[in-house]
Amino acid sequence: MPKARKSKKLPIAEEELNKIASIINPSDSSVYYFGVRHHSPVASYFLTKIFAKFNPDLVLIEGPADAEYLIEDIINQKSQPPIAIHTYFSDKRNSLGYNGVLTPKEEIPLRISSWYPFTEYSPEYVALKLAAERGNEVHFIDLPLQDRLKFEKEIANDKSFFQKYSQWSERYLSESLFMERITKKSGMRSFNEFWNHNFEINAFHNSLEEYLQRVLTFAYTLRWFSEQNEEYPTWKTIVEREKYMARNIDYYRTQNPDKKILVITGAMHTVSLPFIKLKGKKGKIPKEKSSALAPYSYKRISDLSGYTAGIESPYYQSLVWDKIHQNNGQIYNEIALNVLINIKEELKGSNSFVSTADIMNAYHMAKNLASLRSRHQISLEDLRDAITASYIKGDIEIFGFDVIREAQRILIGSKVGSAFNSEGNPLQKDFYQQLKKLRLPKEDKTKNVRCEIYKRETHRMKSQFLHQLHYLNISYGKLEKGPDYIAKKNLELLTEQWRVRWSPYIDDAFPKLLPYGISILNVARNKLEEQIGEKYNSLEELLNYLVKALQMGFLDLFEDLIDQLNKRVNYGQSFTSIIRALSAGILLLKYRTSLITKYNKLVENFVYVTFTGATSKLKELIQLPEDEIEEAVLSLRILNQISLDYDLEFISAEILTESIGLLLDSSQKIVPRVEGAFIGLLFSHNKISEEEIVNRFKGRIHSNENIQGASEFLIGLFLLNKTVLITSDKLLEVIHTNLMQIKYELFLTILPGLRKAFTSLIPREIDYISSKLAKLIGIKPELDLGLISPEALSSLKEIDEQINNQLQEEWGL
Amino acid sequence: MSEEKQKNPVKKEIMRMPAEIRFSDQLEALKSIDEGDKPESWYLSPSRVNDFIVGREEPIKMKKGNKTVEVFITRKFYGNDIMIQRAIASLLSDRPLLLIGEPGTAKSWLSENLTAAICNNSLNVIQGTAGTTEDQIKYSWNYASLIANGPSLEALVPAPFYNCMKRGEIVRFEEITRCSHEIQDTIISILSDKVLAIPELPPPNDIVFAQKGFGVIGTANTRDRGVNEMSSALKRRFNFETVHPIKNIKEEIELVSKETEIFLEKAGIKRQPDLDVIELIVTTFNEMRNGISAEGIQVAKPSVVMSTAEAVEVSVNSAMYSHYIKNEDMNANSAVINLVGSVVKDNYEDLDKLRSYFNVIIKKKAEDKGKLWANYYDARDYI
Repeated sequence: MPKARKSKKLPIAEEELNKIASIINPSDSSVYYFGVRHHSPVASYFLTKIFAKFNPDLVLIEGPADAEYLIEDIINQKSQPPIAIHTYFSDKRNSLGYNGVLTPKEEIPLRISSWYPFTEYSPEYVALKLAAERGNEVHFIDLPLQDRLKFEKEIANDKSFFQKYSQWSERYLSESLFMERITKKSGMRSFNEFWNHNFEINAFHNSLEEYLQRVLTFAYTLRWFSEQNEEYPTWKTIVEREKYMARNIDYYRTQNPDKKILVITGAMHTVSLPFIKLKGKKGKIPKEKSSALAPYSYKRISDLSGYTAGIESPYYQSLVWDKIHQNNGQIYNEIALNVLINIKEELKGSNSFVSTADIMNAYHMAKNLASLRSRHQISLEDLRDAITASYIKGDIEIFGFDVIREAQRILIGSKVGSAFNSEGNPLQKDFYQQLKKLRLPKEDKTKNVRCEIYKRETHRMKSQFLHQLHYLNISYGKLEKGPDYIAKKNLELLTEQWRVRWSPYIDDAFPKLLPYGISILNVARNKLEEQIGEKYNSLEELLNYLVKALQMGFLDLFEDLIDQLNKRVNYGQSFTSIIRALSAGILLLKYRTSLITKYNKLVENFVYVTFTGATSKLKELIQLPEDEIEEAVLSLRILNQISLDYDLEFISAEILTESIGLLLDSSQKIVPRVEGAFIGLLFSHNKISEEEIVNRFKGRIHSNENIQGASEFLIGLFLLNKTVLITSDKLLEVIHTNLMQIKYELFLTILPGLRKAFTSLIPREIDYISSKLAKLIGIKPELDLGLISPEALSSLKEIDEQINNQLQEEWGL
Repeated sequence: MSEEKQKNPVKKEIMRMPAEIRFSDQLEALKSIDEGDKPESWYLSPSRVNDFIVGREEPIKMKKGNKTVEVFITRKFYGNDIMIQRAIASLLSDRPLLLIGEPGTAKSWLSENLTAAICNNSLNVIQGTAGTTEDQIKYSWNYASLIANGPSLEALVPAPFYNCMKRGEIVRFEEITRCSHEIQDTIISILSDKVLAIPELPPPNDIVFAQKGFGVIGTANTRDRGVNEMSSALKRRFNFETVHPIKNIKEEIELVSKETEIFLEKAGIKRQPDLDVIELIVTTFNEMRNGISAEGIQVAKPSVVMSTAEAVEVSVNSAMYSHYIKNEDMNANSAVINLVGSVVKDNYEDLDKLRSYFNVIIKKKAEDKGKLWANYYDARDYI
């Protein structure tokens, strides 16, 4: 958070109050400035009143001037909210200076896509529809995206700034010191709660003038505070946007001297625009059309509310809008009751049963909370709190999941809009443009495409595009051969071989992808981001996304993914999962290419986190269930191999051996195979003597409880380090001696395990050990059979078969 | 005892004052400015009850005699303030409130302070145990009087439910899930119908109707016998609030420091608690409880709870040990010495986890953060 300078005393003095009054009741009756908050149903409600009262001829709206050509599509009957203007900008001239910084190379332009969402209750949408009904001329007057970005580049040091760019973003607003203080002082938990309390629920019954007084006084104070403390990082953009809007307003006034003009902008601008006197031509707009109307969804609007592009819980707000024109003043309470009933219905059949009594209790509780919080009616927050207390019967961490999920789902809603595009599907256009640009064939015939991904930039771009299409299930190309980081195959290959074929059916794929963007790249990227953003991605899924991001060229997602992987490693992962992640990290380090050189530090840190995480999980191995032991010991082998092979500052064999030493020294029971594996690991680092290995084996074989532990011990030991058997004569002798001493029946019980232990040896090692053993017991290693008759050979063969069959039948070997 | 002493018994300071006595000045101050709507039988309005629990920034000026005094309303509960509002809203409804959570998360403390503020009486307590009987919940009899004169109001020995229903006050039922099912379920009909039948007495005393203001705050521990063992019929009659351990380290340090200071003052120890040492203790508790260090490294969680209450104990014990045994201020060594007993109770695996924590996490902090952490790391030999 930026530190505030010492601020002057807040001067809501007479002069300022008069300014606000002059906006509400202007002396110049030809222009009326109306302030809104985006997606506020109450703002839209009062907007309809101002339309009736002021009766404008011309309407100017805070919308992207370069997307004005989409207004007809927006108000078309075939377009149903939620919809969004999607604007796409590719910085080919590097005007922002981030090519090569946020992209892998300077030649690769930074690509930004931005959204202006509209719901049925958004003031801007309501204004467009009302203007259309009344036959009013209407224009968008805000600065186009690419011009706006130029002013924001100084504060865009945060990569995520460009990732979910919403031109109605209130991100810095909700994070501002002013909002933090005023929210805390009011006892609210968030900016949205503060807004709902003061400007939705408690403002709903106000007169138009009272409402405007509240909103504009707040907007004025916020603006003043932000300006004084320079805490609104995009202040420069705000100033430039307002100049642009002011020039447009003046232009339309000059062109239409007899018309009444209604100007609808965010309230922060409304308190400034009337006092900016600028003359000029109509604001410039880029020649190239780079916007399209796309269907949108309540879910996406809710996701964007993380960056506070308006109010949360879109379906809930739509209910408010539906009821707001009723004269009945209890709309919020009615909506609360309906939502409570809906949630109860959705939870039927789940483990979280809710009764009618619970509904009544929740409703009364919500009312009590509203009263306690000095609200006229039940707010969204009161409703959520009542649901938490009344519907969740137990520890919220254990019993709350179903209830919270359903409540969230209902409040957000699942509505998806439909968008009419008079100029055709932009995504389809982009696909064919890319085919042309990358010289990929557009023929209904299979063709081979070869991409030298490490050598040639154009080939790399081709590969990325083909991977993007594949990811989106657009059936144009199939990878026949190439490095597969997911399956860890063919990593030494430097080229990819694709088979491609165009068909007319490809065009069918585009319409449903439009909500994600108007270019293949953006769609693939947005979809991948969405998947990555899913709350419950497993470690393996995240690793796969990492590889996909690399293959599709989304290197800026790399950092986020590594961050998520680091966090995921630390939560509830099994030892084997962490080892898989560690292996992947080692692979990335080993096969580092120019593609990820920039991110090597991140990968190193990831390797460190996974290595440390794995080490701290060793404790879990000592009492694993039987069915998990095999995989765990194999994973331990991988961990050991990594600690031996890689001499890196962030991989410490010492921590590994020390942790294992502590586990072995503790008095706890350890599963025998794991004990053997631990011993084998320590032996590979020269941290244990031959004598101790021998003693431990003796402890197992002489065990009254579980003699099978001896063979299990050896399985684990040899898996981690079979050289111990080759180098240690003592161990071989002890194994032999002790096996000779135990009873035959007991020997049979451990025989399968012994066979398994020794299968890890290769024939040469078996020969060597056999010779040693032969010397030990005083027999010649070579078997002098002399001449063997065919009959004898046949008998021997039969005997051998019988033994094998018996082992197969009785022991499954 | 002499006649004089009988008339003027020596007042001894009691070990622990109930909240309504300990904070009587604050309750009085809040009452003096309380203009909000008050439910019947409530001592304070819901907003003032909320103020009592979460504190106020500005003091309340009130007249005491000829003087105007400033009374600061201190924060009683550190945690989720929204949960407090929900708890109060639950008590406004006719549903009882059940506070659940791990041991040491201040459920009973919250219950005590809520009842102190709502009915100025936090002593209507039933302690749930395996041996709790219905008599201890509803009423029992003075058997001598019963036999001598038969059933009568004079022979009846009221228990908390009886008293609270009569007076419109709140019952505190601590560790409700420790009682047997049968005992728990005896309150189901009271919670539904708000009526207590006393069939031994003739009308009109055979029925007690709950007066307005009657309520129940239960507490239950999710670690031992959790709320899983409550019958569904009883569960559905409660509103639940989960009380979580304090997540914010700074708040936890503040709370532990405050409690340590109070304790030392009571014990007459003039030394001040060392905030840096308290930070060591609280950080250890916080990270082991949450299973992750501030540096993002996974920490093996012990089988014990590692609650804030235990952190306070360790801090107090560390200060007492240093003062009485070593005649010095509390320090890293005394912190570790007293930490072990808190972490390692009946499960020796927790000892390894503590050692591992020091060997990996504290070692790193010692390298990065300097002397005090290095001393703390060096003190690991006491583990």
